[in-house]
Amino acid sequence: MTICDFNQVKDFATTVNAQLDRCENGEGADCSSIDATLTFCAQQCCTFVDAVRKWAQDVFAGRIAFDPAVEQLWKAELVQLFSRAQHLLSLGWQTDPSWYALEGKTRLESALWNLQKLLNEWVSPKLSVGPSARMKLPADAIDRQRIESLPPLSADKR
Amino acid sequence: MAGGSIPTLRPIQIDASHSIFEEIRRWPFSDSFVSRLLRDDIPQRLLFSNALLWAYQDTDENDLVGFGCIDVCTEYQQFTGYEPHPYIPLLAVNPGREGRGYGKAIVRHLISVSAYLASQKEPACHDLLFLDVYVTSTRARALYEKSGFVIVSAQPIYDEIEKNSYLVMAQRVSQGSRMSRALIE
Repeated sequence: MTICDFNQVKDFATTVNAQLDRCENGEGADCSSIDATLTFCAQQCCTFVDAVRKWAQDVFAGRIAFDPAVEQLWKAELVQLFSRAQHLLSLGWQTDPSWYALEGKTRLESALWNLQKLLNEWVSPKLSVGPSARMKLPADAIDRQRIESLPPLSADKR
Repeated sequence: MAGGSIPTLRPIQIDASHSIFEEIRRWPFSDSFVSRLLRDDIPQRLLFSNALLWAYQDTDENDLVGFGCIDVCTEYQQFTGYEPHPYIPLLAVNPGREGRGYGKAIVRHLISVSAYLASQKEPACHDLLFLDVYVTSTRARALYEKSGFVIVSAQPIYDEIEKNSYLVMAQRVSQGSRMSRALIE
């Protein structure tokens, strides 16, 4: 699904935050332990990062127009989510002595790394300079027979 | 070295925040298209897509001689049965270091990486490696042809934004014959 305007981003972030609220309150089978809660939070972080990447790819490909207000909202929500996930990770450390061995901890750390990378290296998406992403090729633009007849890679090129 | 053996290069994987990337961006490319791709497209592909970027060092001379990028993307997915596939958005040799076989060595490395990616079950990556080249880039096109790429576009495709026509080239990077779902159906 493409999330392209301000209200759609707002709705998406609200839904993710509401799910995290419920999980932190121990509601639902998904959040019955600290390990499950950490895992759930990691999943939400990944979902969020995927949505941001999809939006940026859509701008890059010219499928949607860049809107600076949408960008600012994505970034603000990313910062908030990062802070929330980091807090949850620290709570896990305080509440479970075997926290260091939890699978959810590893997953959440990995998700936090991705969030941080996105924030630290942020570039504003814009339309692709190269043609491949933004050109919509008709099916007959590529000669399928030529593709079909491409030989396998010879061993000396591997 | 030109026309003879391919020089040995040491690939250094970098991202857009690496100091080497800043250095590469200052290279005086004669084609401004390369500089624009480096400034705008590559950082976006690294951050928002699945691109990998390498700088290359000549193992004899210890200096940077070029760079190359592979993205696993969906830009030609209609020809890969809607599977992500490897794509070369850009590679270039350091201006002033051209004509020594570095371009061929860089392409060879990128083909090897694509072959590796296509051999992995997760994440899915088709075995067709694509690139595109403007018809005016005759040296680049010759390099790709020598490296095994074949023109697969039925005819040159006109790009309104760049006011230039380009060709799509591809090669298979698996050793077995793998037929794309799109071609079977």
